Amino acid sequence: MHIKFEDVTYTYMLGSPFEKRALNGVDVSISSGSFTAVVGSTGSGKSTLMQHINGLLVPTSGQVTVDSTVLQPGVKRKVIKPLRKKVGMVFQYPEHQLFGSTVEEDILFGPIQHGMSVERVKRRLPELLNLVGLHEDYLHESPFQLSGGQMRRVAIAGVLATEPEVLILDEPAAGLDPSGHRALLQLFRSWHEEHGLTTVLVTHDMEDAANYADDVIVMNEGSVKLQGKPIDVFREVESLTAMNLAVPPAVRIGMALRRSNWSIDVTNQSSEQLAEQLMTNWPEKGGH
Amino acid sequence: MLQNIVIGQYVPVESPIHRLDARSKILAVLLMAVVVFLANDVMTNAILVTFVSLLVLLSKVPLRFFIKGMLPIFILIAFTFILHALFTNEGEVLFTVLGFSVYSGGIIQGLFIAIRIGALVIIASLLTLTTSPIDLTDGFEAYLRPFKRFGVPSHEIALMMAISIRLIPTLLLEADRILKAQSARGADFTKGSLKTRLNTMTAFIIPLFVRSFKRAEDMATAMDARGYRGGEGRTKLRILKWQGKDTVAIVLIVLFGCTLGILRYV
Repeated sequence: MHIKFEDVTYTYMLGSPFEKRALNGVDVSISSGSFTAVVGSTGSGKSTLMQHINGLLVPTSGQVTVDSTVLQPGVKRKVIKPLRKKVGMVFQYPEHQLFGSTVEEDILFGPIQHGMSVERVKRRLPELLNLVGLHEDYLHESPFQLSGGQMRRVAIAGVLATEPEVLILDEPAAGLDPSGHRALLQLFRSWHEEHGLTTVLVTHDMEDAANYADDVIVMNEGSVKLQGKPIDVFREVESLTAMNLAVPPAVRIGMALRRSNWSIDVTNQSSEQLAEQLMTNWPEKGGH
Repeated sequence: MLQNIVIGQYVPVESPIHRLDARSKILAVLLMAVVVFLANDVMTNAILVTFVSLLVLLSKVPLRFFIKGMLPIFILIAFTFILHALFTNEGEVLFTVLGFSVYSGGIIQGLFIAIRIGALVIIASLLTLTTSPIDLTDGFEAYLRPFKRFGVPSHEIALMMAISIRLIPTLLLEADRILKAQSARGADFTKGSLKTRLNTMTAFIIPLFVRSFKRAEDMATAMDARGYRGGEGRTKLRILKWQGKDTVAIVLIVLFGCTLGILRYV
């Protein structure tokens, strides 16, 4: 599903002395079927932007178009409701939203609210649970007895169970150890490819943007500063640094090596790809 | 969704009333609660309205905050006004409604009562609108301290108040996040039968409780780790300072009270 922001402005606590403008005339498009990373430092407005995609927030001015749904100031509830079915959202620390007495009950909450066939979803539960890396035996246990990482997997299963067409991930791996972090993002990437989703990953980790995204949107102080393929965005080292964003180490090292005449292809951005190139280039290392 | 709730109603602007000590403001509110009842005729009520309006202007708090605070009380005020208008049989009959004769005295009496309640509510909200919750707590603690010898745990009460006030924004933020997370999963908190709505509410309330208990536990641990052992021998970072202007404020209120008293009884 194509997502389009047109001159979107959003102000928190409008009309009070605590007014805070979080988005400032944002114009940006996220193409259907892409895996887009939205990066920016804390307070850049990236989470605010994301909450416009399923109508959790409605623009103060401007409009958001998701597929054929138009969200404008004063949009009706009945327009938003069907959109919530199509757009799945994994919040930061999704385990905080758990409430069910069993894992099954919790996962089924979304599908029931959206009026999906409970029987059909139930049949798919063991598979879904395996997919997020949990044994199906957990279905009948209380989510509150699981470990933090397991709870997060349950919460994510609860979002995936509604079979969204757009998946919004707001720092989904925050607070996980490196291997858990990688496993989770790989899970989302493969789910994205298998189901032909449009995925938006909100993160401040440039390495994640480099490793998993096809497109990168850089936000700063409530507006979009850069957009493009990861490698094109990472070339803008100076403006990224000015926005308190670090270029991923693999790109930084690759560029530095290139400057000292190594034949490194900097269009590859992940650490693995850089390591491979270094290995193949090692014997014929160019000198000064 | 919950973003429009203003915590403790405190409006941080610069004004002479904001700069007063919390203790003098609390004392002033208590005094005014008595003074308000001295107004009993057109003259004294007019003076009362003028005085309160001046205080409101002096506080530099936008008027709509007072109006917002008055809205829930407005029903009560309207109700008392109608009761007085209908049941006071003084003066001349103005008109008859539903078999009740409305006397001019009733209208006036109702109006006076409405002014009294209105003035009280405005004065009380003036306190919370111009005093930060932390200062307010410190002020209350200062007034509770003398009762310590009778076994009133003044420090603990103040700490409990401070923690509660401090955690309101956190709780609201948490509530907002959970509300959003469940709404994103399709929860609709405004539609459906009572049963489905109760079910949806559990999806909101349970995570909120779980998080609150967790936070309370973390906080207790953090306090223990920093060696907290109650108010004994504890010094304060923020020290309340009673200044000349605080004395002036209290004197002004007392003078105002005396004026109303003289006008009423002499």
